[in-house]
Amino acid sequence: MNIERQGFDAAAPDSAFRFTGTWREFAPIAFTNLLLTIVTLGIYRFWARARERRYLWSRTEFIDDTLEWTGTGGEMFKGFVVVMALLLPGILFLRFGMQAMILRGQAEMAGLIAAVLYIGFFYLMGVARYRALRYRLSRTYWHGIRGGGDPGGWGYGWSYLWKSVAGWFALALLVPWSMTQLWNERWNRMSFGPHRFESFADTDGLIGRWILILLSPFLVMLAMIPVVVALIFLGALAGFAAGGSAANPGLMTYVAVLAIVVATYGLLAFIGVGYFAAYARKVIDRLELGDLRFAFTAGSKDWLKLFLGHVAVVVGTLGIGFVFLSYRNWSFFIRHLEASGDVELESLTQSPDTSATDAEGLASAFDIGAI
Amino acid sequence: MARAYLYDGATAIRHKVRIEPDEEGLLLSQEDGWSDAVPLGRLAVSDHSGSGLSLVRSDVEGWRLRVPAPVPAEIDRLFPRRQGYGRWIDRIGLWRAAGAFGLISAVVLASGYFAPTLLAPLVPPSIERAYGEALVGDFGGKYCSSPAGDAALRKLTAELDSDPRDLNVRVVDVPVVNAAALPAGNIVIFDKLFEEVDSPDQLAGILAHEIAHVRRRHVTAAMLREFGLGMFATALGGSTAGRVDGFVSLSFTRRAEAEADQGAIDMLRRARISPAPTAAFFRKLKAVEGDESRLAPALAYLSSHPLSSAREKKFERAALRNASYRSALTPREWTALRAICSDRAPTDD
Repeated sequence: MNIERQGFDAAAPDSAFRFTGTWREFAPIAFTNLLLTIVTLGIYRFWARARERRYLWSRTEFIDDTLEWTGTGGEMFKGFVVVMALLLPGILFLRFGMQAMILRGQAEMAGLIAAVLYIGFFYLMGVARYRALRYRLSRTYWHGIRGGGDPGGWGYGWSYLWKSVAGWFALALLVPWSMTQLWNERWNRMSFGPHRFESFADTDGLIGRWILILLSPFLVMLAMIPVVVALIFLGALAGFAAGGSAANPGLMTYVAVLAIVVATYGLLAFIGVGYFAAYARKVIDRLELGDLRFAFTAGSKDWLKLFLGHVAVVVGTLGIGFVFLSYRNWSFFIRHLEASGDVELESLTQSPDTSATDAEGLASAFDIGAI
Repeated sequence: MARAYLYDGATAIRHKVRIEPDEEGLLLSQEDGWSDAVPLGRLAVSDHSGSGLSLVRSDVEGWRLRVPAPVPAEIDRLFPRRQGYGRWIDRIGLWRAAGAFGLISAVVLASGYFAPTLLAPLVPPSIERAYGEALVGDFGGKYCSSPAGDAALRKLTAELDSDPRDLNVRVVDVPVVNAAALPAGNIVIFDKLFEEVDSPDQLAGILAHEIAHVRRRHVTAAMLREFGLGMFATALGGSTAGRVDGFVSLSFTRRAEAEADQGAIDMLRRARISPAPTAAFFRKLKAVEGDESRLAPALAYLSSHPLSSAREKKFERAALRNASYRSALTPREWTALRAICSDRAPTDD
């Protein structure tokens, strides 16, 4: 069998990643998924997720070929059932046992058990996040090669627990630190083919934007002052025009409330997006795989457009458009993802990791995503 | 003969190959003489769409054969397009599968909805007692008792119910304003309720409501529902099942509450106790709930109890102009009952 030496300079003018899907192709998948999910009372959602990913991955090109999703609905369903069976005692306690203990006057003991359970669930959410990422990589193929990661994730769970808690201490100033640390820890244990991901994100440039979020309630109040003053002025004017008696106080109140609500949400969204845009750029820019470096180009404006687009799609379709949100998210992610460096096809050999079999069951149980 | 490319699963290198069907399956070959025959049984379709055909091989991980569009007919026909909904659905078709699943779900929901009410009378008292014992226990033994108070409570119960032997009405010293019907004919009145109730007739209305819950087996039905559809929805997870369960449980409790109110009115009429004071109690409750906004009637569909104002009107209408009502308890009995947990002045307001 002859072997062609192939290497790609991924730093071509166009991005190495391209998304070629269209919403017209996606719509039949999304709507049949919705139908089947409803008639099965939600059980089909695992198969729906597999179909959706199969499509999105198959329309995602990296250099010269598409990605391929090989995970199945059946394995995700099984993973979920196993996890639910393991979590059942805890869920039963919180649903029935706790009330029974409180009614017996053992409120302290019940509270203690509940606290232990909630901490345990929080720990498992960290493990779930890790395993979901590993599962997704292990079901993602490119050129017949798949990703993987260290099995387990139990140690990551502890890290997730204490770093998340530590982040909220010190007036929540350490949240950017815990977020980037946990991102690095997760990705440093992931791999594609023989190569390990290397992630070395730090908090430079994140702290300031995060402090803005923490200060946002005060900023909103400050921003309200001119709005309120203007409204009072306008109200007085309207009253004056109507000959001294308030012309339509009801309408005025509605306008005022609407203006304040819109302004508050607008400002909060703007500040929040500013941080998360910087965070996403930071963690992806500091991610490497072999000779490949990644970059993420979405700025705050792009994120805002994405969210406003989400709102428009959902509102404009009276809600049914929510089935397109996952499509919009994925296409946003891929359109702004870039890679540079070399891919040596010869040395990109099959992943030595055993493939994940838990199929993000833990993450499904907690209803969380991986990235 | 068609052009394709192959990834062998060992490295990411893309090999150009020619493919053609032969007796065994698919024959792959290269110009340098390399060839491989793959039996059809080992090949599966991973993608068959407008962009071409992608095949995987069950015995070699990562082995991928990509045939770009247009796929030659002699190859295309070997690999029928799958819908990819999932094995069962692909076999019988989307619409038939949706119909079948819908039917099964409807049966599950209908039995989750109706079975508790239908089966509740069949649950033996021993099981109900064990359930009550396990889930509710004894309130840490915080029951209140005094000879005169107990006697007053017994009298009130007997006025409302013709055969109160299987009812166990007690006052418990837990600081909530409420009363509750529990499994196995247990009814508890929380001591703090006495601070909000102005007259024995009001207490009679509330107690009658709880007795009606017991007599109509609402508690047993709720218990069955919780273990049936409730557990089912929890185990299934996801938002669809949760929402369905929420609506079922809501309509269930709303129906039960309305029935219990009706039962209470009937009981009060038989006992010749006026329902008007109970209406006054709901008026008070309404004040606590806050001003009735225009949204309130819409919210009634989302709350488990009927709106206080609707209940107020119902009890008010039930009060007959020229009926000769009597007081549910004598002042002396009422005083004793109010003081059953702690000394409390005869009247607060």
